[in-house]
Amino acid sequence: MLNQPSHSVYLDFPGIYSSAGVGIDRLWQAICAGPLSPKPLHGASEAWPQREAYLVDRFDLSALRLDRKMLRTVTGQSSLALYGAHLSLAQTDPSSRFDGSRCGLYLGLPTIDEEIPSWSALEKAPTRLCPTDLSDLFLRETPPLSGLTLLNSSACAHISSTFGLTGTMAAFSPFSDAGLQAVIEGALSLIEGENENVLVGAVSPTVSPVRILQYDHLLWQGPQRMGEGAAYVMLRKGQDEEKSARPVRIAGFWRTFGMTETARVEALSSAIEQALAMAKIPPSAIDWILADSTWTQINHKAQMRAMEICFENNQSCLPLYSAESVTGVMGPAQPMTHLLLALQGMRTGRKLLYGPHGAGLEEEMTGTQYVLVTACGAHGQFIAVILQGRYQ
Amino acid sequence: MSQRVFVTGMGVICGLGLDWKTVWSGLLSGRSAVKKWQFPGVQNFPVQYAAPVDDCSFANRFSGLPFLQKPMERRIRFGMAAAAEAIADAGLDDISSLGRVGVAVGSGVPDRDPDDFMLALTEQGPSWDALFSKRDQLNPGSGLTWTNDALGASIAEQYQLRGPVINLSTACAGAAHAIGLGFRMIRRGEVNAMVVGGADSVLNLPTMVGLHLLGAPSTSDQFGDRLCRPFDRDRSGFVAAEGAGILLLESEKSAHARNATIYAEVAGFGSSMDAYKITAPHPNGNGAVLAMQRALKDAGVLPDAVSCINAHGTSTPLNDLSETLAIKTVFAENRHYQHLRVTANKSMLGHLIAAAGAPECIATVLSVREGMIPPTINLENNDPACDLDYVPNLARRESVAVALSNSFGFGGLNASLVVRRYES
Repeated sequence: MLNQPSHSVYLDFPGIYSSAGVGIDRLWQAICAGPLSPKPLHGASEAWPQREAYLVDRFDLSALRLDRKMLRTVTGQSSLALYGAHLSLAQTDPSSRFDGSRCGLYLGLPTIDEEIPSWSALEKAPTRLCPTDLSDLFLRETPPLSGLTLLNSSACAHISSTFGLTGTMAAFSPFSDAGLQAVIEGALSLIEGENENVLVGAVSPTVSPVRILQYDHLLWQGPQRMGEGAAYVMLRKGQDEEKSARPVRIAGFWRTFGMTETARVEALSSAIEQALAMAKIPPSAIDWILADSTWTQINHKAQMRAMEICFENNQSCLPLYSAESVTGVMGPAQPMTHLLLALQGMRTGRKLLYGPHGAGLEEEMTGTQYVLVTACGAHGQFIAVILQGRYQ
Repeated sequence: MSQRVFVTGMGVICGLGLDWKTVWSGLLSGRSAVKKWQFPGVQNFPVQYAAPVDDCSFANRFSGLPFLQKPMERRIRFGMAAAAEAIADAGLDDISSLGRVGVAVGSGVPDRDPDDFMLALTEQGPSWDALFSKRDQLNPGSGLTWTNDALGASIAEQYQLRGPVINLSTACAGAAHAIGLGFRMIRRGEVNAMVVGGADSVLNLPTMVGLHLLGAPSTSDQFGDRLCRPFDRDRSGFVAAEGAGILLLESEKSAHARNATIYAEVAGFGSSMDAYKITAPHPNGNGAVLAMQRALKDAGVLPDAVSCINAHGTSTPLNDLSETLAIKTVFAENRHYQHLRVTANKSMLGHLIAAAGAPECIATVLSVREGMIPPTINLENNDPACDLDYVPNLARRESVAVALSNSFGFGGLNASLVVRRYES
């Protein structure tokens, strides 16, 4: 699918907003400087398994001149999605006259911000509330456009409307695999001639108490912290990129599923092996592995074991890195962030590995480079994507 | 080399029936699933009509399937039942025998149980601490503890599938997107078969409040259970429904190798965005035009080859007009739109939201297979601006070689599928 020159899809215009700030340069620097400290969650109590997270500062969307009704339907995560898209698209054309008519949009989205509208309505409930009064309470206290804020897909509509994108589209949810699904389907839409450009991106959930409740139910394993952020990149298919001194293209991918512990190991191993086969390279050609920030024991073990199987090596010897000590775990945005780090690394001829005291350790990566990015969905969805670059 | 993609199994769960044969028979006879409805224990909710699945009939029908007896979200239960029917309908004891098989499904809003939120209430108001401390008391079938991808993962787990498992979040176009992406995966050779479709249930208090405040569902009591009337002058909003539709898509090679019954071919898929308003479709249907044109191009089909469109047809004032204008634009050459039959299944099924595209695609498949077009019922007074042949009130026997199935989501997220008759 991707191994013919005419099918090459290139990456450009990385836009990212994470707890390290705006831009991939800043994230790279933050990683080299050492782990960031998470921030305390507002109102968190001793009972919660997570009381701090990698939060982003709120930002000003006024520059985007949003429609009044649209503003009323923009939730926390949709706002992040819009801002991330803006950061990528703003680089495409300095005159800000980007032509969106042949630009597609493929997004990885989390489940919608939960507490709206019901929680805000409950806050206005009388002290003694009968279940039968809930209907009246909700009808009275729910914001008028909340029907649209209930849909995570409204983020697509916000971006399409704000930037005039009318190409093909899809949105996937809710975990880290959704981010790489967006990359794969966006790339395929270029190869199959549907778009001239594709904006692909992913956004994290807004860190909220209900997310902690849900992740607790899904057996969040412990040391990692949740993070907020959005990461985007533009995909293109064309001659200009091939002539560029530092092109980065998608060389291979594969997606699989496995639910049990054994099946998960097999599924991710198979995804990596098939992605290598599509890229027509042996495992030894991989220079850098950006592994998903797994947050369940079953996925953590599956990922480590699959790496050992595919690379015939102990994980401690692999060129492995994951950015969660600076970004937190960002759901669909996590592998997208890793994809952007890969792009940055291949453009600058460097990679990041685990260094002393939690700081990232830079190493050189020259010549033809291959980087593997993985995603491990909470329910057993596994994806491997291989990028190819050339640093001269 | 690209593979042709065939529909070899189908399953539907909705207010009209619990299998595709019953639903198809109901559609052809103009039977409606829309009825007077209210939340248990809730008086005077402004929305008074819906097309719910009958819980008693569902429980009786599927009591023999152990995997449906576990606690799960309502939409997931419907989706699992529809998947079981589709796989059985395809004559497969072991679907994993087809080789690499994946799942792509569309889903919408998680099903919120208001009682879960009541757990949070304290003397001082709602408290996340209170809710967290009582998390063991949460309804195990509530969306608070289930996630959007649970249906796809549950189907893959139940049938031991190892291919891609994907959840689409594109509002009311979710199932059509899932069918379209599944079709593409088979066509390009990534998988041999895909379980595709969607499941949804918005008939819960928080979601219905949200939809009602948006002005989307009709609150009229003028027409009783004839409330859902796409393209009619007196249409006043959609009628919410619940259920699921699942199709088994299979490569030509796989279907022929096992001598499968082939219902029809999925020949093309197109998607688009309106880039207009979050709260309304483009008034000229520009996004819908793009989706239909892309689907036709993808199928290599000229507009004049199409004879039937299974419309999105929601019965909302804005959608039905903009969809009519979009159809007239796409099929403008030689005024081919005058020869099209446009049918709106939602007049009988109600609006299954993210799942809607799946039963409607199944009805489209059956139209091309059987040469029967279901009617748009309750079309009693034509809206002068909606001036196509909507097959009013009576099904029509007519040969259909190529048909389109449209699904247009909130915020202008559009998908269109091309279905072609299979000639053996």
